Amino acid sequence: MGKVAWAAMVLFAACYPGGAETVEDLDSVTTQHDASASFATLRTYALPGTIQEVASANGQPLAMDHSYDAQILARVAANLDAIGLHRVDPATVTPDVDVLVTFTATRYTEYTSYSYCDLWPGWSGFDGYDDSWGVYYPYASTSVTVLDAGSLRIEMLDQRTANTSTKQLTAIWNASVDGVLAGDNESIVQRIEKGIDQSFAQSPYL
Amino acid sequence: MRSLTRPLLAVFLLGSSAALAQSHVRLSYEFAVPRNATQDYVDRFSSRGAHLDVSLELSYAFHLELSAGLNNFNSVKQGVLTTTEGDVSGKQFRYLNAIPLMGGFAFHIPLGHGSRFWAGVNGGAAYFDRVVDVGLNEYSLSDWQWGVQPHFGIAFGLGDGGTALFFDGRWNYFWERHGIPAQEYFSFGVGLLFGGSPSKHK
Repeated sequence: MGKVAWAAMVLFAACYPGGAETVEDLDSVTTQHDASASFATLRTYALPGTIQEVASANGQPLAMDHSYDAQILARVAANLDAIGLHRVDPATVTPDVDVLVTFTATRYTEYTSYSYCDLWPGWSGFDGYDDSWGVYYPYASTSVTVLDAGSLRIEMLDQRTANTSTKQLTAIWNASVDGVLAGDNESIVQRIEKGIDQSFAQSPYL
Repeated sequence: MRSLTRPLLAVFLLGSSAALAQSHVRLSYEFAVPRNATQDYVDRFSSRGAHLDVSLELSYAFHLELSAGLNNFNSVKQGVLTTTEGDVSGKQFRYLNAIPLMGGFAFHIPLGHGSRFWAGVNGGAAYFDRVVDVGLNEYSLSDWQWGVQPHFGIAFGLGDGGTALFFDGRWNYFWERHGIPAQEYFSFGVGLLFGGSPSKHK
């Protein structure tokens, strides 16, 4: 009878569902907005011609390939145009909002070590050793998990409500297109463009 | 009313002619089908569940039931998730782990040779752990919810040792609490009943 119970438990554990199967499955888009902002009255925007790199507070910063800046910014501009805003040159006209685009690429590394005595408790091969013992590696090797992640962030700063006393511009909307940096650059840029479109699609108040 | 009385009387007579049921333990593997708000969250049929029931005979055919279970649901959906951090879109890997801890009463009708039929109602609470993985982030919302669990089952004796193979069904309903919608699912189990050996008549 015990064997039946064990077989049921093994069957039960083996059925745990998997999660993401492709890199695209890990793509996400997060948008936030100021509910008190007047989006309906927005008319003009200004957009810099470059994407700025921002280093993450955690992990190892990775360099960005800027050869795709124009393509990505064009996609942002196309979406802004599509919601009825007009791009202006901030040198000549003060826009209602400044739209800034930044990118963060980070390598996250996680080192894994084991407590071997806990993994094989009571094994005779560890007789004479207790938990105070460890394993010495005479070479730079251990189990490592590496993940390269990237975030394209779009921010909309309201020039109309610039507070001169506190010297603050309010970010009335921002979008973060997040994903794993895997595959060739073309495919990554395609995923970013898809994310940019999604960020506007899920912000119907714009 | 008369139409209901006669079947009940027949069942009672059938039970009294069979051996006396005893306290026992039931262990089952469960399938579950989500309904309504639970189905909106996780629409997949669950094949991962288990239940442990302890049935204590208080008087002839009348049992106190103590029940603990686990039902795991999961689902994959594409959409926008509204969180405290904003609106998050992407492929959502949704998980719902339900852990009902219930107590109640049931009538057990012995059918002879270790077989029996039972029906009853449990009440109690369940811990619902709702997790959504989107992108590289995880969002969770978990809480206890009060509920009821009507159930029925039939067991077929496997010999004189009191062990029986049984099939049961439950309707699990838990009321809305702290903004988490009411949870509802049907679960169906197959398992073994231990310790249900018939009493010897003196």
